[in-house]
Amino acid sequence: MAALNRSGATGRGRRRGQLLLVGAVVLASFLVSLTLVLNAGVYAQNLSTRAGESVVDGATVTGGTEAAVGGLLEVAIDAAPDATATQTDTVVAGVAALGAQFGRNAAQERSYTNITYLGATEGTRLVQPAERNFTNATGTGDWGLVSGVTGLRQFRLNVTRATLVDVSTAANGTGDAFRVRLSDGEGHRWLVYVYRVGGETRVHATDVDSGATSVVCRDTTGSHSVVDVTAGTLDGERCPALELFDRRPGRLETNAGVTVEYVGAVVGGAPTVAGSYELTVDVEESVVDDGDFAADGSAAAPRAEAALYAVDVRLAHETRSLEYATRLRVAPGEPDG
Amino acid sequence: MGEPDRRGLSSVVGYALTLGIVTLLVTGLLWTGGGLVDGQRTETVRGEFEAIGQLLATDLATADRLVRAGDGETVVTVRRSLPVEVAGASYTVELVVGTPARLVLTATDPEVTVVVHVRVATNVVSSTASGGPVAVVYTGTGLKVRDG
Repeated sequence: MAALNRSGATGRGRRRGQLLLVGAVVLASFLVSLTLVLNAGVYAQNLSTRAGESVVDGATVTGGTEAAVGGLLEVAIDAAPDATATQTDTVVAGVAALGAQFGRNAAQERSYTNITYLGATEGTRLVQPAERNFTNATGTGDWGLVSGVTGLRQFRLNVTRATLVDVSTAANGTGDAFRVRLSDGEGHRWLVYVYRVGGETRVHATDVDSGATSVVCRDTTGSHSVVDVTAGTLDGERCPALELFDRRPGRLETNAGVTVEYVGAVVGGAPTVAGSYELTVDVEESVVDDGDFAADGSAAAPRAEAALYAVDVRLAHETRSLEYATRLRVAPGEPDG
Repeated sequence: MGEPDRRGLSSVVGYALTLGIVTLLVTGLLWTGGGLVDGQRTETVRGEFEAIGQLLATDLATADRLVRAGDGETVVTVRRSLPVEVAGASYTVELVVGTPARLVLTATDPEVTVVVHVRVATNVVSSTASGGPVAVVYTGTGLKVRDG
């Protein structure tokens, strides 16, 4: 009987032990599940803060290529003015050298980058390189530089402040100021006024049709002011008056064909402005060059010189997470619009 | 006549009570614990889908910017390694055309759908990819997602 009791007690103990074991396993499973789920949550937080390295890579390579090829184009034009064949040779050799350099840099950064020359667009650089008034080659104050061009870049005027019309005097008003007239094939017409008030250069723009006038930009530094029409800056500072190609309604559409004229470079027999200027357009010299410019080969100004307008290159860039290949058209100083 | 012997009865009642209480506790634990785990899992999947959606939206924006930076003949592939499963659930990513375009991330168990808006200027093409390595590609027709 005693043996039976011991045996019965032992059996009940075993069953209680099994129940505890099952409970423990269930509890453990629950805790493990909860841990896994919470861990997944932590992983999600980690995932959301990972940086996209490819973003930086792609943008950097594109911007770097445009800057490098743009610089190369400028060097080629300055080294061989009025000789597009020589300029092209320089660009082709330079792009090959850049491609090799990119390849060496990329090898160090475990990526592949290559650029190849595809072609170039011939154009014309209109330039007055030294101090002179802004009349044409025959001394006319109102004259057209180019008509109906679909591409223009680096339109910069470096004006000598002392030569500008001072509109604060009783004798002069803004109507006597030097103006750059810009118009396009869609009927948009703008006048950019360049004048001074005492020792301050002022620039503003007026919509010819609506009469609306922009804010006035001012510059007092140095004796010269650089008016960059395509970059929209006055002496390197942003000038809203010059943001005429920014795709807003009523602004100039380059695709529609832009005409550039100087107005009032001479008023009452006296020049209203002097300095230097430069503008590159996408039409060949034979089309642009007329009686307004000095004869070919002459050192006189203003001159129309054959110059490359743009260079096309093929860019290929590859990293662990990014493959990118595209055609890039490089025309430094071209307005974004 | 002495007192009746109730010692055997006490053991049986005690045992039955212990068994009942433990069974009740374990069942309750399973019930509430299971619900808690399921709830947490759903929330975790939702949170992770938000993170994955934003990452893919960033990749689409990157590809869009690179396409616009080029002047034609552009090919872009942006690869990203995403988790194959989210909290134990497999899922799909669908790029839906619209204004704006949308990324729809869907899991069936638990049933979770998260929509992330994508703002790109380049055209998008309706396309689907599964969890795991995913690529955003552009080959001239538009941006799309595919298994990468």
